[in-house]
Amino acid sequence: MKNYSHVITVFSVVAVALLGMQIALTTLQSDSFGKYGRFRGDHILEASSLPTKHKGDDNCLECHENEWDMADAKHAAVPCENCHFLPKAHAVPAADGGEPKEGLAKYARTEKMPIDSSGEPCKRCHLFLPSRPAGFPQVKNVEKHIKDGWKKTMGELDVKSACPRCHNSHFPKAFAKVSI
Amino acid sequence: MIQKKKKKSRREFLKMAAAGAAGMLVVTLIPKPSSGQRIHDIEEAGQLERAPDWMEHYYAYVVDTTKCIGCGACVRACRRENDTPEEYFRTWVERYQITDTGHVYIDAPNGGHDSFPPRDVPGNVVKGFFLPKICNHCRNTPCTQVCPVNASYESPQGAVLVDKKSCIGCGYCVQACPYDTRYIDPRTHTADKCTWCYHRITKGLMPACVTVCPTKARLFGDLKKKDSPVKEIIDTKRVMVLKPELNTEPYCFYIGLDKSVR
Repeated sequence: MKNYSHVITVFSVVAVALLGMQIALTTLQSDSFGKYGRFRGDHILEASSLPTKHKGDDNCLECHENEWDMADAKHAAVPCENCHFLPKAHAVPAADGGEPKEGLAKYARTEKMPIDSSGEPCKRCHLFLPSRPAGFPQVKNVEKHIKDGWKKTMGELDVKSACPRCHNSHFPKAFAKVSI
Repeated sequence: MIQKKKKKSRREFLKMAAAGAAGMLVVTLIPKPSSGQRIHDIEEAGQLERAPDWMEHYYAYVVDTTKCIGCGACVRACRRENDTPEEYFRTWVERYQITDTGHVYIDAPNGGHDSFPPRDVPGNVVKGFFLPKICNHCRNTPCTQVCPVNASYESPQGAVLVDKKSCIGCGYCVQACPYDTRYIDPRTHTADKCTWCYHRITKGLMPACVTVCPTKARLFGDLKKKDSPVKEIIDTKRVMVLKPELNTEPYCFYIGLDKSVR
């Protein structure tokens, strides 16, 4: 037996290592690991249960359907939240403690929707860039475009806030024909 | 006699070693329940206990570069929806300007977050387009293969996710991704990336970038649904992926890619 002692040493080292690995796996590894694949199973449930922030057009239309009939609008294809990102307090679901106002079925308005009425949001899509698709409506020279369309009755010319003075953001083309 | 004994001990040692090796092999062969199985294996075995709709969906993403106007709405929406840190992007838009001399000018100021200011390039721009980029959610995934702690993985629906609680922030996956879509979040020091807005798609919503796109240049859909527009595009139209030579099998398909795209 004496001559086997070194063999026993080797195997005991291996056995201890295996045992240690098994102990490490059972204690350190998450219980849900391997439940659905080689990852912590609980994570996939955590990841899918995060709250959503963009609510989509249908959410806006619950209250604003009559206010803006966007069916004929040039900008009907543009999602509401592209320009108006919904602040958390603008529409509080009744279930979350928001007090429903008259006519508003599900939500209570506690905060006004911030609206950027400078021309900057318009430029993001309609300023001329050679990389934009050719058929897309773009303004090559903004200052010239404003000066050409500007009427003295509209008061002083301020390039920064000029766009919404002629173009309604929802019906950009129709409104431009109407002089103020 | 001593020699004989030595011989015997060697033979027995070899026997024992063989037995031990066989035993260890058997130990490693004992399968851990459902670990390391591919999607179809799980599907066939019917082992899923929760979220039974997992196998009903298999997602894909389509970018129509001919429609993108470079407004940056997707980048802003992504930042709001996922609360990504400043100067880090889960999605971004690149501007390509190709002049008559054949030079290619590529830029993405602030990832296209505030759209693009006009940029003068030498020569006449004869070809130009915008190229939105996101995580390609590859099937042959370079980034998950290198993760030493299995924190990054492919979800059964095809989205590549990162478990922030398991991630040790070693950054291997950031280096492994050929599309530069991963980053180390400076707040948590863990890897982060586009998840196709996993919290939205599992609720039946579109990812935030798709929700806000005004020209429908970004599309997202379910390949297992027959009437899905994304499935129709991939089945019937000519689509391309980024860096196909790397064999990463991306599930983000592009319409109208140019040869200058990198």
